[in-house]
Amino acid sequence: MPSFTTLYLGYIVPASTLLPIGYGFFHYKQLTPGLRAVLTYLCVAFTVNCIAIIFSHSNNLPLLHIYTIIEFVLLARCYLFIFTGSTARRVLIGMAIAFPVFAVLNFLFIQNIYTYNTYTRPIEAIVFIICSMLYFFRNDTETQRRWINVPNNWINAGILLYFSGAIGQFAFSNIVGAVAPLEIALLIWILHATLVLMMYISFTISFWKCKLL
Amino acid sequence: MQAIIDNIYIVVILAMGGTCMLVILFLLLHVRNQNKLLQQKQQLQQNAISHQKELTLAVFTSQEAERQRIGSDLHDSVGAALSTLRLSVDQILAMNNDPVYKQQFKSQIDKIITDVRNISHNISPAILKLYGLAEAIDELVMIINQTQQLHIVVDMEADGILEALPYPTSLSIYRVIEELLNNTIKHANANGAYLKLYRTGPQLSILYTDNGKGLAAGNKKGMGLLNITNRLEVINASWQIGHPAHSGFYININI
Repeated sequence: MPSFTTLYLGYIVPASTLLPIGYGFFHYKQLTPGLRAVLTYLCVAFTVNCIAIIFSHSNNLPLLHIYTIIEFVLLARCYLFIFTGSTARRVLIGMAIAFPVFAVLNFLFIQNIYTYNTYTRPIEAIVFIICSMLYFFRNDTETQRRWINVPNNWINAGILLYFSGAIGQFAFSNIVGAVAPLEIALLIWILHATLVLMMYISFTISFWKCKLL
Repeated sequence: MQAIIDNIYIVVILAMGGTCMLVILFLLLHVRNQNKLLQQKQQLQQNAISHQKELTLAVFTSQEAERQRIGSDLHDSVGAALSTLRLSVDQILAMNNDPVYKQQFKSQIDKIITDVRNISHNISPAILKLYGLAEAIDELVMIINQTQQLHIVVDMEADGILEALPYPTSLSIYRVIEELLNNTIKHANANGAYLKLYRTGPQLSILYTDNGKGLAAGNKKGMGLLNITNRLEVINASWQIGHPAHSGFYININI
């Protein structure tokens, strides 16, 4: 019988992606273009997760480097639907071009592709923390409905919670991986997985609220 | 070095947990703030609607006061002057022996007196204040039926409620019914109308229909209909215009 940690990290949390994916496809016609972009991101995340599980017997960290680039581009695309101002859109598109270039340079010349990308992933986290905070500050005066009934609020809450909580883990992954006892490393990964799970739950709520509109 | 490594684990775990709690706290405060703003916005909208209603009520009140004044002036001065004229004409006609001429002259003056009386009454229906809404409606319907422009059938099944209505509400209802009948006569190409006043629980309901051409789909509200809906809003009534089973004009009002 696999341990709870193995079940949680290896199956429960990766499978939890199917919750928002299943709900999103079932109510696809009622989703806004922005939420359909989030659904695309979730599908890619699930696919990459599955590939990572298949290759988990060996060092599958190169997949994380590639996934980070794809995740950045897809989430930046989601924010293009949220931020409609021309300046914001130009900045997002610029970052969606510059970040992949930086990430590729990082694993080619700066960090080993078989180690955690502790430079690019925290930068990605900072970018999306700023995007979600900007969304919340911009929406401070745009109140037409209760907070819980706005789908985009749930998307940004999920993104903010995940990237804020995990940025420390992103930055210190290599150190923790190299020197931490297994129990501590697993604890940190469980915390990370819980943040992922909370993000997927808030995406599901977002799809549900969109259907109700 | 071991101590530094131990501290790094604690730092990472604390950073993750601490940041999580800060984000959750931020989100909760944001939700509370947004809901407060939404409540304030809704309150402001409500205040604006109330203010608009008060303004509309003030307009109607001053309109009614003006109508009352004109009605009184018509009745007291013009009506009285016409009656005096009639007496004078009687004396002049007494000197003229042509009976046809006398009759024509008298008939014309009588008609003017009746018209002025009707105008004075229509502008400010004294019967509403004196005898109540039911009597005022009956008289209005009788006057229109007499002109044979329209045949109106009235079902009065709300006697208990009508007497209990405050005067401003009764007046608004009277004006609404007056406007509905005017609209039917002027625009509907109808020859019959039906008016029913009845109880729906504690509420007064008014059903009005005619056998005319009805409202065209997507028709913009004319001044008459706008006046009706404004008056109904002021007395906090709800209404439904149009019914799929009825081709003529249809309105059901709940007060």
